[in-house]
Amino acid sequence: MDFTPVPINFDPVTKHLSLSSTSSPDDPLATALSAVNTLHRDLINLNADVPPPPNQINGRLTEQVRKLKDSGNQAFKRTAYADAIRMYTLAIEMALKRPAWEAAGYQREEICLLYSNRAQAYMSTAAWGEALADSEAAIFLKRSFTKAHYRKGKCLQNMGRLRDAKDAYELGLESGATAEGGSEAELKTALAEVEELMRQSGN
Amino acid sequence: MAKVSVYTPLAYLVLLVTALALFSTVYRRRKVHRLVNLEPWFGQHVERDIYYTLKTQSEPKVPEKMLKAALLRRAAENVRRIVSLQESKPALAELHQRGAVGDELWTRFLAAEKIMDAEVMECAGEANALKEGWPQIMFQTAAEMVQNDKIRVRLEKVPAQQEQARQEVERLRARATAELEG
Repeated sequence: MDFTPVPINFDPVTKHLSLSSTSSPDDPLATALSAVNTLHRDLINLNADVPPPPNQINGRLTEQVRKLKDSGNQAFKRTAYADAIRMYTLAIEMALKRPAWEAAGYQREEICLLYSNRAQAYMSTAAWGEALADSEAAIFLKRSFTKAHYRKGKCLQNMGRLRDAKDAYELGLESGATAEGGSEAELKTALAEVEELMRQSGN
Repeated sequence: MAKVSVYTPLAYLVLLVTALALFSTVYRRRKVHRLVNLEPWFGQHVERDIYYTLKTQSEPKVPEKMLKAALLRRAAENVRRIVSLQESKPALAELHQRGAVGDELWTRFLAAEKIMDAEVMECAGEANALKEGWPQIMFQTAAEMVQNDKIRVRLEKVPAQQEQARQEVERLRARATAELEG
């Protein structure tokens, strides 16, 4: 076992690792140390000596995320969009606290819904830019989530990017082909609409 | 016909064997030298270095859960490296076969595979020493960690993307207003 010793300080009080030499925050060593610190914190909060198999999900966190999402949905229903956005943001932050050993598939699913919902709330305030970035995040998390493709298309359309909007709807129809239905009809209508708009602006 | 000494074939044999042996050792020594001096496929394994630094540190002693955290990060980096090797292997093998890629690169790749095999074994040994039976689920855990890292890296970009798109919308609105007024 030969290795290159690294200049680390362990603080026995805060139980935190830090670099003994000053370095820039994007130093790979600094990044790696902060990852160890995060994981250590999660392990301390865990009621076992090593992480359980990935399919064991922390139910308390799920419950907290669900509550925040529900408050967001309720705020959205009573058209309090700023509140809804705040709640979804809190829910996202909470969901990202989930330890890294819990199933990534579960985490993608959970966070995808939150970004997609927040996109919808942003769209209701005509904040197309913010909503676009959120829908793209939701698509990254779950490609087959047609609603997010639909929302991305709507944002682009409102930003005057008809060609990109058309691509978004088409990709949505493709990626969602095998997924649970719901937005397919919506996507088809939107596609026809944007094609009509393109024809008009082309004339 | 001149008489050939019985020593002649013997001398010939000795000469031949010496020459071959000399060639073989020189060749092997060069090969070893080349292998040792091969540029490594991956850069420094920071997570591994962190783990051993913490493990060998005596004052102050690092708690066991910190060691486990460091070992898990190391295992995650191993998973990342193995996946990267597996992903590039078919294309690289094909290029090498066609002669598009030199022998040295291919040798470096094969060496990297061997190094990773040894590293994974070593990592599993450390895990088993910390908690018996842990290696069986540790690699599953590490694989999820790699996926979850990817999710977090991507989502960290969202605020900047939002800001950029927001500015685009603002420029559009300003232009539309100007057109209406103009």
